[in-house]
Amino acid sequence: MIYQAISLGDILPELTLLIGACAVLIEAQLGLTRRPLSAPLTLLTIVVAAVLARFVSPLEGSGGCGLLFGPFSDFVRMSGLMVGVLLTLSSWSQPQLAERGEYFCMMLLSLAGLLVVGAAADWLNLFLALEVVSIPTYVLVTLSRDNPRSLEAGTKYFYLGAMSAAIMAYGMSFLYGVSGSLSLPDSIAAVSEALHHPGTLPHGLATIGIVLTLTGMLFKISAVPMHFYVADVYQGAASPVAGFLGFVPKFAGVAAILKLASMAGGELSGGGLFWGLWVVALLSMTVGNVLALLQYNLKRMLAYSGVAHAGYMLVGVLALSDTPRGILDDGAAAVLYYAVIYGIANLGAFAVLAMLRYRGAPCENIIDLAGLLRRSPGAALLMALALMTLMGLPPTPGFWGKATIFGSALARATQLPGAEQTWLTALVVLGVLNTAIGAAYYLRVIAALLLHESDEPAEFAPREAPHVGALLCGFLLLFFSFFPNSLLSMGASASRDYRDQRLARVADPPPAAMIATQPPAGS
Amino acid sequence: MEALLLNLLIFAPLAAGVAVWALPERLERLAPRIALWTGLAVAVLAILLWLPVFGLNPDNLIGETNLGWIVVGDEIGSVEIRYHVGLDAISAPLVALTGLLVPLSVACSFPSIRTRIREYYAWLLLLTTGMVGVFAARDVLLFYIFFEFTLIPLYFLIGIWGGSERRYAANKFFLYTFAGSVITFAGILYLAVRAAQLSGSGRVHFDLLALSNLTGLSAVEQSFLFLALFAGFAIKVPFFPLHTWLPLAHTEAPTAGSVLLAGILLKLGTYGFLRFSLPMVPDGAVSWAGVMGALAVAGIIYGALCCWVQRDVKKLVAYSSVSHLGFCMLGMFSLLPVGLSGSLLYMLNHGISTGALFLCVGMLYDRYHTRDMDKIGGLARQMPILAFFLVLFVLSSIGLPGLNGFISEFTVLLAAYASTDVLGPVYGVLGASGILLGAIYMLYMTGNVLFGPLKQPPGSPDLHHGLSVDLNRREIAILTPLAILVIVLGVYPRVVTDPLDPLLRAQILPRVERAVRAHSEIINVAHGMRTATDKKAMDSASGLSGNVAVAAITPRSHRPSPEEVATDLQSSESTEASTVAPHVAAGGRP
Repeated sequence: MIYQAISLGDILPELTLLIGACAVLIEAQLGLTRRPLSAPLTLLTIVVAAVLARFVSPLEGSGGCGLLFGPFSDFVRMSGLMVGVLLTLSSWSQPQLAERGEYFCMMLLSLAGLLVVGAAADWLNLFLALEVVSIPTYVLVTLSRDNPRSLEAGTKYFYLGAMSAAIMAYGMSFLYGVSGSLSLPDSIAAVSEALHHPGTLPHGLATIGIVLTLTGMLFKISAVPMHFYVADVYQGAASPVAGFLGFVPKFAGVAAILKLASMAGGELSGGGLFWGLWVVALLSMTVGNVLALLQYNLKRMLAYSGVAHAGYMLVGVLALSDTPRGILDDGAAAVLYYAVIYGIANLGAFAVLAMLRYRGAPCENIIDLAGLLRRSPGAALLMALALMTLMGLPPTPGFWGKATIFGSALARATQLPGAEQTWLTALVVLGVLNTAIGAAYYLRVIAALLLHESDEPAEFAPREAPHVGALLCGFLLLFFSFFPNSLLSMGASASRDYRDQRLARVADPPPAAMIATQPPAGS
Repeated sequence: MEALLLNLLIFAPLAAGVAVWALPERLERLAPRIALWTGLAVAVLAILLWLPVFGLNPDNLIGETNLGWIVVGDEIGSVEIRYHVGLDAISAPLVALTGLLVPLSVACSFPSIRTRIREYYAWLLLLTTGMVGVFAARDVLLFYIFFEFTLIPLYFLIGIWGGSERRYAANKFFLYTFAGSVITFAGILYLAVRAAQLSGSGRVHFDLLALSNLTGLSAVEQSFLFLALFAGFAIKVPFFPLHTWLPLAHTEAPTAGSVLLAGILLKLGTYGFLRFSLPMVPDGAVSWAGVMGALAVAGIIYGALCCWVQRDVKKLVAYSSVSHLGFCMLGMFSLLPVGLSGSLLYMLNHGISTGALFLCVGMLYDRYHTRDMDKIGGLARQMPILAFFLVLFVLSSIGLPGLNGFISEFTVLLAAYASTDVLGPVYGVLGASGILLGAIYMLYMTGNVLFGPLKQPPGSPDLHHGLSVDLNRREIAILTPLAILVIVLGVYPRVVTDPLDPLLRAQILPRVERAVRAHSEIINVAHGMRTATDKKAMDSASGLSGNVAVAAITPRSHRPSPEEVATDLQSSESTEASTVAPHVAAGGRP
């Protein structure tokens, strides 16, 4: 595929974020006004980007320079920017004055990376975009934190992140080697062709490539076995940043994994990849939930619960299907929906947590929350709602997420042959049992919030903007409880877009000889 | 009009609950009043909606509303979750019972709830919404949502206003039931997905009737699906080995919580079995019926023995629920018409008499602050009115002929005895021992508390908050409606069973009976390999004894007129009708 030129109009939202990031940084350095403008500028940037993404959206299927626009990229854009607004609001006054410029600049850059992940249509762009998402988060974790634990967390996060990026790049090089093309659609066709011929060299290389690339991406969504950093990092980071980590890198990772998994396509139902993902999904759910059950620090608990949620999302990835008959057969829609809902709920919990003070220090332990209902009912109920969403209690949006993910897995299972059918169904049963384990530790927090009485409840110190952010999170959760349709349909059309694209390619693959002999035109 | 009333019945308590919660602190004293008036309105609405059940066509629903709620998809495939509510002859009596118990449990809370009053009544009203919704739902996923929703208010009712171990009890209750119901949820999803696949339409829906008429599931699938549904429902019932959350939750809950838990929420389990397990996976139900029967009998006896050794009155009543719901399940898994209707009757009767017993125990506790039988005794002399009610409800709970417990206990045991295809005389005989044990422990408790020398803890009775030594007018008003029902349902149970029969016959029995027949054929074939003559004898014996019992219990509705049999034979070409008809005719013969 020869690189087409891209019209700048197509990437206006991304450009806006980039320009906004620079402007925020410069404004903070110049210090033109007495009150820092970083946060309002960030908000303005995101809103403008959202408006542009909504109304000046590029033609479907247009693109170039390794970017491709369509419902999938639209979904990533819209949900990324929507949650971006919430993120900005909830971290409004978190960073120290002197560091606000850097903080919000990093946030905008990371968001811009997320948007590019959604549109990336070649390996180079995908890798770069994923790193643009990740690198600012290493900074965010340590920014404006004065305890050594944060520094440790940031260091740990950085080294492990760099390692995972290296693994991912290495894997991508294999995929490039197999297909001879950087472009995702071409690569997809060649790799799935190679996967169809077990025993040959391309098959082996393609498998290694997919496994390594996937491993790198599992780090982004903090799935087992790439989860070791997560608890320390969440604990070390400020609460709004922890909320940020639960959405932006995770969502980027999920989008990337969906792209990669759709490459294996029908092959995902047979062979090693299926079993590999099966084991990873089960381990993520179980390890995450069990470790979360053992935590008494709320941030660590939410971190490990994030591992479990990554496991649920991988169940949905296993449910990807070439011939879906409607949304339930289509794991991708469920996964996209789930990632967004998880992000909002997680952020909601952290946003409330960020405003709580217990004896002057930030509130971190579950027991510190005791009796919050009496002191500030709104905060307590909001947090309870977020936790119930994470728990998956009907009719919260988390329940719809679990329903669609497990439903698609079951629907997929019925189409699979013998052993895989049994084991995928078994995975769903293990998944719902894991939900029950999850209920145990979320309930502990809800009990602390609403049941327990305390003479000295935590103090709720609301600042205007974070308060609005938390309320918006709550509002969105309530809205998606009763009207999950909109987001689900968007997810469904997003996933359909990607699949159609791939199927069209598979139906019309480039001649194999060309792949083997000719150097790719773009290189 | 009825549709409006039903929706009002579901959502008015929700609105009232939110309003009560939002009351400013200085108006806190209004909370109980608002809750009581809402409760009374719920009662009136529930009974108004129950009345049309007489003469209701089994295909129709009372107050049906059917709206698309979550519809996602395109022409190739979609998921549909509908807001579909309506009452039929199974759910209407249960909704009426809910309506009856809600104002009573609000009224019984007046003296005992002294902290966080607004919250308390708000949770109670939210619980009402959940309970009505769960029975009214006609969409399985909607049912599941309400089913889970009932957990939250009750969790807080137990956890905040319960006894000394309330938090442990509440957590155990929540986690136990949640763990079970998520498995049920997986089962429901699988069922819906498979239904879409079998119909070949790609439209995943959760319509109750459509799923109840699903054909094409393999025996293994049905077996597993039955187990999946079992997980959630059996824990809720609570079925024998899974009952351990119940005594604790009951004992620790405030009186209103216990009343609603015993009266309504336990019925969600049995209702689930009747509504979902039996018609949706009939083959699975039949193949597990023996195990279910055995566990039910074990539960009956185990629960009764546990009651016998209790010193805590409330715990005794709680364990008696384990025993009583064993009866209910035994009747249901006889898979005979008489067993099913007896089992539904049992649900109502248990709700009334156990609810009433919890109310009585709560009234004692308000005065004496103890439920220990060693510390109180001989109260009949001090409290003759309470003694009258307590004895009445105890007798109804034991199953004294003429009171409501008798007829349902008798029918379910008879059904277990007569159902030779799945259960058999052994189950009936062993189950019947539960009646004896029930009489022992109940009368033992009554004797201890009411008669003998007067014993009361020092400083009691505590007569704050408008209580008097004997029951005051409020308390009499609470117990009287239940007492009336105990007698009415004892004398004329057909007020429930008559409208029920056509519905069971139309929606649940055909599938269950077909499964039973298929099952017994397999068994007969196996037997037939050994002795062909035995098989013949067994066949005729089972056919006869089963149907004699049917005819004996509800003569009118179970004995079809010759014309009916004839039309049955003519109209239906399927093999089942032609095999049903001789059975029915045989039942009519004596």
